[in-house]
Amino acid sequence: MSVEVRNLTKSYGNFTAVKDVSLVVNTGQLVALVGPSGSGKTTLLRSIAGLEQPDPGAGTILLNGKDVAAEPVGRRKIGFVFQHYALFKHMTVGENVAFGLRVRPWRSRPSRQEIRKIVGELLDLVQLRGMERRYPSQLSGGQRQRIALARALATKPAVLLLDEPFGALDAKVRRELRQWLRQLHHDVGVTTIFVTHDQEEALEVADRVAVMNKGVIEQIGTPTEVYDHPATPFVQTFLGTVNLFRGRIAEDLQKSGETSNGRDPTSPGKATAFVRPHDVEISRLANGHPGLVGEVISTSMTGPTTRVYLQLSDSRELVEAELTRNRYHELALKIGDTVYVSWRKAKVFADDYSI
Amino acid sequence: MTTTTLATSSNRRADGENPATGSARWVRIVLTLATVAFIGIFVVLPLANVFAQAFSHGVSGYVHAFFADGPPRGVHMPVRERLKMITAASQARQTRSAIAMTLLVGTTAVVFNVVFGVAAAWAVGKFRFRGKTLLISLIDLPFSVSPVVAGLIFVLLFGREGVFGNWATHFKWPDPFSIYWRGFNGHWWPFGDDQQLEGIVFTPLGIVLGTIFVTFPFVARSLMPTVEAQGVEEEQAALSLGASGWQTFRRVTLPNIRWALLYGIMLCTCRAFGEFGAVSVVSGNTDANDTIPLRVEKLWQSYDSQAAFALASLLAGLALITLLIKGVVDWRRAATVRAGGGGVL
Repeated sequence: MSVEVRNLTKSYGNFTAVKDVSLVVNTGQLVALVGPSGSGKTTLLRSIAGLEQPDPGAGTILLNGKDVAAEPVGRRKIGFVFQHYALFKHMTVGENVAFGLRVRPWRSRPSRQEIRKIVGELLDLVQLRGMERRYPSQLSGGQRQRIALARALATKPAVLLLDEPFGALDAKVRRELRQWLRQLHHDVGVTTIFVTHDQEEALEVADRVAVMNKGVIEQIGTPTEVYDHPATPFVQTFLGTVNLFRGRIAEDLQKSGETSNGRDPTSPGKATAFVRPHDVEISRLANGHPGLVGEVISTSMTGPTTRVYLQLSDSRELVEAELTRNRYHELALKIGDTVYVSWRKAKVFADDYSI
Repeated sequence: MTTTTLATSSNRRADGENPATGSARWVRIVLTLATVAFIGIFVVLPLANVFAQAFSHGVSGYVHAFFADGPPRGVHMPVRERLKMITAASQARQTRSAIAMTLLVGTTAVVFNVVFGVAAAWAVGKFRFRGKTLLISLIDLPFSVSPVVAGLIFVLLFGREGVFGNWATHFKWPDPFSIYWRGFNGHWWPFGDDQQLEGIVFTPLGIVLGTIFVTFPFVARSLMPTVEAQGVEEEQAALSLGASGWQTFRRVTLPNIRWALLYGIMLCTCRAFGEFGAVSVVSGNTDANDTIPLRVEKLWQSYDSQAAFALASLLAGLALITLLIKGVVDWRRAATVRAGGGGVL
C-alpha cells in the first residue's frame, strides 16, 4: 500500500509541529524520517497512523490513494510500533502477539488453532520461538522490540510505522537489529516508515531518507543522494560530522577560508564551505596548493580510521579530519605539528542560513 | 533483637551504630518503642476492647444482640420477664434491619463510586483539558467538608424548605426492601413493588446520597496515580491493533488498574459502612432508617453497651478483613511483579 501525505499541518497550541508537509511513499518502500528531536517526525508518523488528527482542513492523508481522514486508527490497516514498545505488561508474549487477532469480531476471527499457528510463525520470524509464555518484563530490550514488531505484523498491516524503533537499545543490539529490520522488510515486503534521530541508522537501513527540521521536510532522497548532494546546509550538517569553512565565494574556493574568514563579514559573496572529515586532506608540505595552515591538537583512533583534530592558525577554528590508518602512519603526525589542510570535496552554500 | 522496623534496610555495623547517620542503637530502640506504644494504646487496645465488650456476656450474649426470640406462646411467665423478651426481640430486629440498611446503602454507594471513580481517574489521567486542576480539587472536596455539613447540604437541597423541596418531597420511588420479581407477563419491567417511599431526605435514598458524597474521592483517588503513570501508549497500541474502545478498556486498562481499583473499593466500602455524621443528619433519626453506626449510637445511648459493642464488632471485623485483603493484595502484587507479570501500582 502506498502512503501519501499532502500539505499536512499539525499544531499544538501555538507550536506548529508539522508545517505543510507532503510526502509520498511507494508500495514496499522502506523510508526513514530523520531529524533532531522536535523536528516533527514523530508527529508526522502518528498523523499517518491516525493517532494524531491534523489541524482542521490542513492536510490530507491517502493510503492506497484513499483519503483516510474519517478512518480511526484501528481501521487504517497500519501496524504501529511504539518507541517504548507499549507491550501489554499483564499478558504473555503469546497473548501480546495474538491480541490483534483476538479482538476481531468473531466472524473474521481466526480459530484458536489458527491463532496459535500464526503466533508461532511470527515468533519464528522475529527469532523468539518458545517465548510464548514469558512476560514482557522477562525479556531484554531487543527482544521486547521484536515482540512489538511481531504484534504489529500479526494483523497483516499494509503499512508498518515504527517510532524510534531502536531508540532505547544499546549500540550493539541496535546495529544487529538494523540489519535484521532490513532483512525483515526484504522478506515481508510491507511498506515501512520509521522515525529515527540517528542519521547513521537512517542512511544504513532505509531505501529513502526524509530529513526533517523544524516541522518541514528539507530533503527526500536515497541515502546516497542526501549524503552526497545535500539540498540545504541543515541536511549537510545533520547527516554526519562536517567542518565549516566560512569565507567568500571568490576566485578560488580552496582559498576561501584563508582569505576572508571573519574579516569581511558584510561582503556580498559570503558563503560557507561544508567539508566532511573524510574529505579533509592533510599534508606535511605546502605542495603548491594554497592550503590552510593548522596545528595538530589531538588524535584519536576509532576503529579503522583515525580522527585528527586541528586548529587553524589564522581563524583558530577547529577542523576534524578522518584519515585511513595507512595515511595516518604515513604522515606520522604528532601533537603540535604544523600541517597544511585542504579538501577533496566541499559543498558550498551561500550564507543566508544561520547554523 | 526484634526491633527490626528501623534496622532492616540500613547497612549498619554489628554494634548497631549506623556509620552514615551516626544514629546510635538507643535512638532506634526508643523510636521503635514509642511507635509500638502509640499504636498499642490508640489502635490495638481500643480494637481489642470492642471485641472484649462484645463478648462480655459470652457467645450466647453476642448472638442475642442479633437474634432474640420473643416470649413463647402459651407459656406462663411473669409480666416483667415477658416484657423483657419482647423488648429484646424488637431490639434485635432493629439491629438486623440496620445491618440490612447498611449493606444496601453501602453497596449502592460503592457501585456508584466505582463507576464514577474509574471515569474520573480516566478523564484526569488520560486527557488534558481546561479546568483539570479544578476537577481534581472538587473530587477532593468531600475530604475537607465535615460529614455533618455534607448531610446538611442535602437537607437544605431536598428538604421541605430546601431549594428543590417542592419536587423532592413529592418524589416517589419504590421501597427497595419491597421489590419482588413479577415476570414479563404483560410488563416490560419484571420487578414489582408493594410499597412506595416519598421524598429524598429522611429516606434510604437520602442516606445513599450522603454516603456517596462522603465516599466520593476514595476510588477516584486511589486510581488516579496508577492511571496517570500508565500513560496512553498501551491503549493506543490496542486501538491500532483494531480493538474497540470497550475491548481496550476491558483487556488493557482494567487489568492494569485492578489492584488499585480493589484497594479503592475496599477503602470506599469501609467508609461507606462506617459513615456516621452525614447519615445521621439525612436519616431523620427514625428507627427504620438506622444504619449500623446509627444503631450502635442508639444502643449505647440506651445503656445497652454489650449490644452496641456486638454490633460495632461487625464494623471492626470488616476493617480487619479489609486489612487482610490489603495484605494479600500487596503480597500478590509483589508476587506478580517478581514473576514478571503486570499490575504494577
